[in-house]
Amino acid sequence: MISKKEISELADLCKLSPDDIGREDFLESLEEVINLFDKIKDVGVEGVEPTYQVNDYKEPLTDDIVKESLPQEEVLKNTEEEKYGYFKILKVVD
Amino acid sequence: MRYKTIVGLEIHVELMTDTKIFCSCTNEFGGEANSHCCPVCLGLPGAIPILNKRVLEYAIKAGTAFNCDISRYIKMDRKNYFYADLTKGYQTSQDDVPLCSGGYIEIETEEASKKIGLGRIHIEEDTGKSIHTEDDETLLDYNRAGVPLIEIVSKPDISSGEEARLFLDKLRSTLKYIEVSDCKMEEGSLRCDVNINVLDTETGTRTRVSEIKNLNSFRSVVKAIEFEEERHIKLLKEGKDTERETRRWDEVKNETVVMRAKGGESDYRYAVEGDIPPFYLEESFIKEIQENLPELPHEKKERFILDYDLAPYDAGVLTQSRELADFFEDTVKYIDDAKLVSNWMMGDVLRRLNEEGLEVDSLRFTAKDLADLIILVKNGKINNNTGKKVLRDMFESGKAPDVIVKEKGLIQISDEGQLEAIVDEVLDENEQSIIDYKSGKDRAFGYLMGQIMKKTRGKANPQVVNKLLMDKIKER
Amino acid sequence: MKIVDLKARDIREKIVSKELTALEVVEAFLEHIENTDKDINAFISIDKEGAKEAALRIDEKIKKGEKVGRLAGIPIGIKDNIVTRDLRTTCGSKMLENYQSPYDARVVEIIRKEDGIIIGKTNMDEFSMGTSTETSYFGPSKNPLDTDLVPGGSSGGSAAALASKQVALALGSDTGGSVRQAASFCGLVGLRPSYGRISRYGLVTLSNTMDQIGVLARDIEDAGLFLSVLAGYDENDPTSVDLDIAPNLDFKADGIADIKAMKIGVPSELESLGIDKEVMEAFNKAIETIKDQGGHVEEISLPHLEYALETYLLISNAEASSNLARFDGLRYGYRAEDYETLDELYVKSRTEGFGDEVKRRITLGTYILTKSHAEEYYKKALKIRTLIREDFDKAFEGVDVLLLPTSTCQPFKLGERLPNPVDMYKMEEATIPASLAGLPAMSIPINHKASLPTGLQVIGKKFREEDVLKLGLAIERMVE
Ligand SMILES: [Mg+2]
Ligand SMILES: [Zn+2]
Repeated sequence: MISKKEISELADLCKLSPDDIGREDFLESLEEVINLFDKIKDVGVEGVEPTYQVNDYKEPLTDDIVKESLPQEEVLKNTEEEKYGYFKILKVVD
Repeated sequence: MRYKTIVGLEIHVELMTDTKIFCSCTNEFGGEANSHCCPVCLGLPGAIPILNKRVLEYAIKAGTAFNCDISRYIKMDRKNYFYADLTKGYQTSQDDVPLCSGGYIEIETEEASKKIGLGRIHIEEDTGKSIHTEDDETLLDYNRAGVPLIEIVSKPDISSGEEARLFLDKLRSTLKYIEVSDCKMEEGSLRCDVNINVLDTETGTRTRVSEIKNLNSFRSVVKAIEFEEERHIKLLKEGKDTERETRRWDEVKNETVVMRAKGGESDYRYAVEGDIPPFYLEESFIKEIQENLPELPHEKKERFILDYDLAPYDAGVLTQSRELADFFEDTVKYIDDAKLVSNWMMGDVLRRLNEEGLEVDSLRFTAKDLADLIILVKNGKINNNTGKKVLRDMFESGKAPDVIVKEKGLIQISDEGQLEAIVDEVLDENEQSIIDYKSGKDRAFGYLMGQIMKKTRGKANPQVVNKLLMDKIKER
Repeated sequence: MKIVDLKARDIREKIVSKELTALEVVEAFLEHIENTDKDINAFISIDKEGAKEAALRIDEKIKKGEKVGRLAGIPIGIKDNIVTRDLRTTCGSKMLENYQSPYDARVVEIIRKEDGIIIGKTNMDEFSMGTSTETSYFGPSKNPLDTDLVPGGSSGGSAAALASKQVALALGSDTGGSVRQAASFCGLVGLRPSYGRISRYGLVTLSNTMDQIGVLARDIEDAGLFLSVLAGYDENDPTSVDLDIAPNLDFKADGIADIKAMKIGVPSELESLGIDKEVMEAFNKAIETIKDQGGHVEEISLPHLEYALETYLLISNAEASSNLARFDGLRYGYRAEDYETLDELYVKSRTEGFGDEVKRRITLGTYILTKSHAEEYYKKALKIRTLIREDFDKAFEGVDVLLLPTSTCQPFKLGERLPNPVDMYKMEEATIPASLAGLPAMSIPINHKASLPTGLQVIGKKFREEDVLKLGLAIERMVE
């Protein structure tokens, strides 16, 4: 059902290895779930509004007031590599 | 014209709010790397974005200035893609319900005025920035991540590089007028992408759209459009199949180069931003913004023409920026002669500013100083040429004009008795010139004038000297 | 009675009355953990020193006659997807094995402010993706009632810690039913409040529109206490609500009056959910008992109940695929060692850092959101979600609370169901509907006499946690 091409496109979109998510057992499980999804095809939804959130909120906004940011060392403390206060990765081609 | 150029612009403008769009980090430009960051703009696990109310305010201001419809329903979406400058693997933006839709920007071309339609204006967040070092490293800075942006998408109504420039000028001056962005292209607070293709009106064929990025001045936008225009026409003439591609402007080579073939459109998998519940804006909020919108450039221009009796061209120049217009109006407050002020500003003031690439807010003298200077000239205290000299001094020293005049002893000599002696002296020394003048060589008169000015170090009242000289030559 | 057997509220009581010191309490619990956790594996991180220091501070306050907080001296376990400054937050994943949050979650701030004692971070299914705590990178937790069995999930570590008396209260998170499910497997009370009731600030997101922090407790009174302390609006979470919670409960009453005063509904569509026979039997027995005590139980209809699972999977996977995109190896979390391009850095880090269930859901969520599938799946699911909410609205016109089983099954053996994801998903069929509608729902243990625990689920109207707790209290007293 899901073709090799589709898997490699999906892998590229979500940045997972196409070989890994293209494994036979994995594909089988995907297909089983997708079969399950297809059940919703029976439901008529004409004129039904989508639910984006279950509650109504009145202007869930914040005021334009500056608060302190994190200290730079806190920002960087979980990274593998840093340099001059920057996160560092090996050169990558855009 | 056989070939019709079709240009649409996509402009990203950073809003000058105090904080970022979804967190309370400062929205200041620059700063030490990664020093304007918090869990929200870093996309740390568990952090939740909250929309800054002022972002809506500023975007609605822009939408109103550009005649858009403002949506009362606010909905944010995620545009999903991986990119080193993105902290969350998606950009929080707006998909199917942009804050502003429709609208237009009116430009004045040589021939007529033209409305360039807008597709939409939506709000979104900016990304961080990466630097590629010579040591084969990429360094990431997220100070800019989460800076509020509006994305303005024009309709493909623009048909030349010149129209694009007029459009961008108008867009920038308006956004600066309403004080929502400083529109500094050099700091990246205004960025413009171009979509361009060309239609052959005879055959009906058209090239595929090229997208041009990396344009860092209005000048390069114009040049890139003109370059692409030619390239597309050439392709049409050769009957070649064009590619849909993304190109960038190469400032050095003065041409566009391919960045990547577009292939299939990327799939951004738009989804609702579940952390920011959609909601309805209070009508009063929008109304207040619209009612308090400052006077826009074209409105100001109309008013200048009416109130100050200025020529449309002059009114246009003086309302280019809000600061310039304010300076003009401030000056007029001190001297009730708008035309004279306009002449001084259009002439010496703007020329000097343009030469130095400066804005009016960098002037070292005030509107009152300029008014005082103009009054000095108008009242004959100094002559016009001296006035120009004093202005140059004001540019450099920032001193008040009367101070400069006093210090340098520049008060104009209008006393006939005093001048008569000097005129006699000059005529005695230049008998040949009198003969020349009398034999019809008008130039000789100018020469004599010059000699008098020299002796008075430019302070002689030219009208008085003129009269004296005429009379005295006749007498000889 | 041993210290670890005490109810949470009694611990505070005894500390305040100086019958016990907070340090004695903490040491007793830590010792118990020492003795039991190699078998249970409830914890990913334990903060012995921090817990003892917190206890000493409380004892100091009491000595000085100062007021102590509402959770004073109560040892608490926190699910490891709730961020803490002092302890790493792993989400049960290799991806975040060493992740140290620079800030505390709102609930953690509240617990500290109220003098609760954070004992450690509990095990969980990787990124809450699972129903048995078996997908954890740190190995499965075991069910304290029988260590061959799973404790449920994904908040299985919290449930196991509480059921084995390693803590007196625990925090979980409930997206499709994780708190309730784990509570039902471990014989505990598990309450998922209304969406927005407890701030999500600092809860690592699985599904933004359904995640809620929930409480696990050994009885209703403890659950009520914990909820009332944690509930409230938080300016850091715009989806939290600005509504007061007043669990106006009379814990001394037997609850019979409440049962009589309430109208109770049971959905007539339960059959469509494929609930195991044993669970249905226990459920029906509980209903009978309620009726015997004079409860008004009537059938109501939730016509779209049978689509809840699919709707949930579509929405939660779509949201999760986007939420988990931030784990890219650049700024924090696992980074692959060898890479030559940025793409390779992403792909390798994510492929090596995530387990299979996470990858499955990311892949599915991505699939659902692609241009060619978004309309038929994602957008349609958002609409069916509306239909499900409307079903509840209608049902609640006639009744005050609804009763459903919690899990569709009883605890099962470790490894038994893991190979079949769809089987795992189906275990949440009865808990998912309340999640989709954002309603408060609680699992209460029933059939105490049977060998395997079963949970009864009480679902209330939105923001009516009070009703859920009241009925829960009555049922608790009845089945004891
Ligand atoms: Mg954009
Ligand atoms: Zn920030």
